Amino acid sequence: MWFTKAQSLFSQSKTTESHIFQFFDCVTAAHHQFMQLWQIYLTQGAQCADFDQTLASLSQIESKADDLQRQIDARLYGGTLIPDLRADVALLIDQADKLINLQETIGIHLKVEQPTVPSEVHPSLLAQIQIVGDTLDHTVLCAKSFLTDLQRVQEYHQKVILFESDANSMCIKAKTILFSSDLELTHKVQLRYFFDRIDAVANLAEDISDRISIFTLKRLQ
Amino acid sequence: MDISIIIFLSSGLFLGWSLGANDAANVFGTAVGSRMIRFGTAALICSIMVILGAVISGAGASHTLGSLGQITAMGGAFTVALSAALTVYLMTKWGLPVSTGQAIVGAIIGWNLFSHTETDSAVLTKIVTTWMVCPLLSFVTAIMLYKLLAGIINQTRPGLFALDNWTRIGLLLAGAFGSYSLGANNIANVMGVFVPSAPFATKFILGVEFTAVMQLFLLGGIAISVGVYTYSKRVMMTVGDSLIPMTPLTAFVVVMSHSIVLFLFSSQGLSDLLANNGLPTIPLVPVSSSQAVIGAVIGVGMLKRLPIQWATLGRVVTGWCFTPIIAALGCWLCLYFVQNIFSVAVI
Repeated sequence: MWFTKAQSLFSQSKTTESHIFQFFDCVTAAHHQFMQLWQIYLTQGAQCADFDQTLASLSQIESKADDLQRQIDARLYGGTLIPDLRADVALLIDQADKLINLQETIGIHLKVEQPTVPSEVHPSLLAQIQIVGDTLDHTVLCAKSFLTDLQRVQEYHQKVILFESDANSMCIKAKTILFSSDLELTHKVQLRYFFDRIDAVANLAEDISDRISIFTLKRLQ
Repeated sequence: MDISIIIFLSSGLFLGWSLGANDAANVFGTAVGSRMIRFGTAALICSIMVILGAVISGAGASHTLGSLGQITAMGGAFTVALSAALTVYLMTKWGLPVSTGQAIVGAIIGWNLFSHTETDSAVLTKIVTTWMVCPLLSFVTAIMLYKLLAGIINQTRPGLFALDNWTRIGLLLAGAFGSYSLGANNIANVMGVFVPSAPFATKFILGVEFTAVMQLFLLGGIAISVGVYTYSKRVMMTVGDSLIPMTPLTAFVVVMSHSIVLFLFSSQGLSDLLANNGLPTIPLVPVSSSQAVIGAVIGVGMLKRLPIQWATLGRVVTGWCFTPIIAALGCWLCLYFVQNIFSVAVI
């Protein structure tokens, strides 16, 4: 009887763990779609099938992540983990879900507002999105390490801090180029909000990484 | 069973109940208090293992207690157990941590004083020395065990989920072992004084000899189990982080260290093994479960440089110092009343 119970405990944990990993794959996939969305926008604009398809994919990933989050929460609060750890993991998933939501929201705003992006800003805008992607990827690695190998968390956390700092610098650089261009002020202000929203993704990723670092310290105590 | 027997044993049963209510928290408190293990699961495991420990391995420690004071009169045994139980109750009411073992030893000395029986100083020294050695041994065991486990975890680097599961299983096993050790070691506190006047005859059940002492210890074990089921939950819910902040791993180390120490002081088999190999034996003495836990907690706390609530610890030590004295004086008074007012033979 005890053996069966222990076996069920391990198999339950395995399922929850695999759901969490699928969820983090969604975070990675969402950013990939987000990057593509901007590339399509800068080359073809928002009125094309590719853009709509990519935005739809991003929304699908967001829905899938929400479903996974519900399943993970149900399993966690069903007693997969001890309470202290349960709360930490649930919070981590909740925060990571916001990363996907933020990017989807930017995508929707892009479709609705269709800001004018002068060509001289393109390279720095794409570079900013690329660095935000690096920040996000390392946050995911940091989160996965929290579940699989606590000793590696700090290493990824350090990288997240560095990438986030680069993302901030790139955001300022892009905005500087934007405001020194001949674009009308109203367009500049409108586009500035997009830069800030993209930067907010990196900031949130860093916040998540900070939290993971604290969770880890708590466990390595 | 004769009703008068139950009445005479009632004080011991009450002592057993209070031991179950309080000391089960030492074994499963952290796990249940932090909701790592359900109370129902903990109570079931604790009850079964306490009874098994009491019946199978309870004799060793009770011999030592018996040699401190041979209370042959049923009335005397009743009064000694009652005054110990009252001491435990009063000290708990005053918010002072209390050791059932210290209360019963104090009460036996009270009976010795009342009956003008000389207290065997060698036995008393052995018991008091054990009270000092027990938390120290637990302290050392906890440090060694923690270092060993930390080393294993650093080597194997298990995932968080795997570590969580192993911790949970570990806590269950440590709790089961701790409950067995608690029954084996502390049943002497509950029923030890009744051994010389045990009102039972030896029985054979399925060809297995079931001695009077075993029957007595079974009753005591059941009383402890009732205490676990009826009252220990609220104690468990308040136990845990009173001295140091507890993690699941710390909890496992504390429970396991406490269990090992209690087992060492109650295992006849281990004692015989050491004796056969010409090694010094460990005295079989009922020790305080709370002292073992606190020794382990301080050990882990100091090793990990955690903030220890020294004020709380001071109150705990104060309780340890006063318990035997209060029990001895209380027992002397109770015996006086029982003998002179109720005209019951206590010697």
